Amino acid sequence: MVQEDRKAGYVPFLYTPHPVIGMSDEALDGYVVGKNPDTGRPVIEDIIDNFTKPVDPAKLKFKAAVVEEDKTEYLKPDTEDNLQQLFYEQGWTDGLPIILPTQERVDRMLAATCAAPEEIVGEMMRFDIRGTVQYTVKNVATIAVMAGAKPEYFPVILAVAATGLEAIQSSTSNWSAMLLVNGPIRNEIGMNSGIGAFSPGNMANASIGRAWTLMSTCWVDMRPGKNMWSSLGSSLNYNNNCCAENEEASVWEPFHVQKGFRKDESVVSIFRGWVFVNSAGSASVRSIGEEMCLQLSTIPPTNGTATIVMDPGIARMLKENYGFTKKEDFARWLSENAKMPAERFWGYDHVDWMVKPLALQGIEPYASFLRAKPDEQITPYFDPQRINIVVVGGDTNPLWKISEYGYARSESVDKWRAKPAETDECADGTCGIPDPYDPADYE
Amino acid sequence: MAITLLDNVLSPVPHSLTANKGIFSAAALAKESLAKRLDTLDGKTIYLVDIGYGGSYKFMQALERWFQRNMPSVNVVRRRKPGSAFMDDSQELWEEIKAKGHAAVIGVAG
Repeated sequence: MVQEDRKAGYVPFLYTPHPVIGMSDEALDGYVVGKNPDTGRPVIEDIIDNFTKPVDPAKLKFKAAVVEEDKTEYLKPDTEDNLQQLFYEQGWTDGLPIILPTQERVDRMLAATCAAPEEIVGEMMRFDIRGTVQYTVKNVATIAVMAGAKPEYFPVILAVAATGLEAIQSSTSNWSAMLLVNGPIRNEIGMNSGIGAFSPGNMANASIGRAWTLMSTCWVDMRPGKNMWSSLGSSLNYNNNCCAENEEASVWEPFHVQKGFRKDESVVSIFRGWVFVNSAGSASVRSIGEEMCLQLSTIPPTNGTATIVMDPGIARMLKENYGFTKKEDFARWLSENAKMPAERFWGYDHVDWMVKPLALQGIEPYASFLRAKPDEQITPYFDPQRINIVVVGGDTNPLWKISEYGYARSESVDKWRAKPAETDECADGTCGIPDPYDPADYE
Repeated sequence: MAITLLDNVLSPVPHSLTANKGIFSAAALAKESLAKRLDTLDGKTIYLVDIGYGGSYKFMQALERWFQRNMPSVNVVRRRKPGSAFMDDSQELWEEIKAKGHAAVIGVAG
């Protein structure tokens, strides 16, 4: 039929049983004669019918869900307990209780920005409607209240919303993300970039990261089985690794300055990927570089990206003991020395289906990687600009976290502030840690 | 204890849903824009195009086995889509299918 009609640009869609990846030949033979979950008919019968019988025009494109838009701004009056239950049942939570967004609370949040309540901040993709959802400053303020944020955190949360990136994605894989804050606002709002920066305990880290996830659940319905299909999911999505860079303790340039922002500018940066792992020990037997290369050689380097979050002590050693005067120098060293056998590289599922097409098109260095012998060592992190280095931690142990997260984008916080930034120096990055002996820190 | 009703709690749902706008947007489709259907598959060439997503080549192998066992008169050509699963295609395979194929199955994700 395609021979007879050069305009045959559209095709009918039909569905197979799921999942396909990793299934045996016998199972897939069963899928071919098994039920199409959309029609209930055998898949092969639907295929043959699509070839030989008139096609229902409704099958020619994805069927978008119709969402009844509720224009009511306020919910029906109810008790706090009943409203908490309503938010839970509607999926307007991460599973934990939220702070109910009363008008007074939202107004207090709105007072922390110069932006007008009805200003459009951005839009996110919502899969079931095959469309986007636009959100205003007021929508973001509502989310910020729900997450438990203080008004002074609001400019950071607005900057996160302005990226237009979802904390939770619709993929069947186990995505996760990291939300990094740089610049003076880290200390103004008491973020933790020091001891236990990734751990529970700091209100700013916890609620800013949580707010990002609530944007996904409330705005684009990223609930399991709704628009989120990740098979195992990720507990990292509770606060999305939200932390601040320990700029004061770092021997290197802050991350946002590497991306072209001024040092005195406050910025959020987002990283996303699949794998995020801890170093178990430090590097007292092998060198730091060797240890990191070993780890990088055992995770799928899908896009050649890596994000390494290291304690200030590691950064200091790399500079003082190994001579890496800049982050970029160490990134370049990793790009040249993190290797794996070609056979391992091409055996990773993601590399096979996302990278191999590039190799087959002759794009380098992938084409050379494809020509390599199975046991030949290749350098999958070949581009130092795709290796991100961030300094976080409290100098209690020279450790690091390693991931194949890619850098997504950064947004300035300052444009969302109610007033110009104030400089508040923090000597060691620990000013965000609540003092266990000072009750005022827990008010 | 008195029960207080909260009457000023805001809905967290934005009001501006924009359907069919974004990466899945498509123009309204006329029924006649589809190619004519085949009368029969006997003696026809069907391309099974693996989009490259994990496992899809094995699904196309299963489909190929089904045709070999059940409709051996169908000439099956199994190929992998040259670009990534989502984009970056060259036109060569699609031109080849137009020139040599009667029909094609393209898939499968997941």
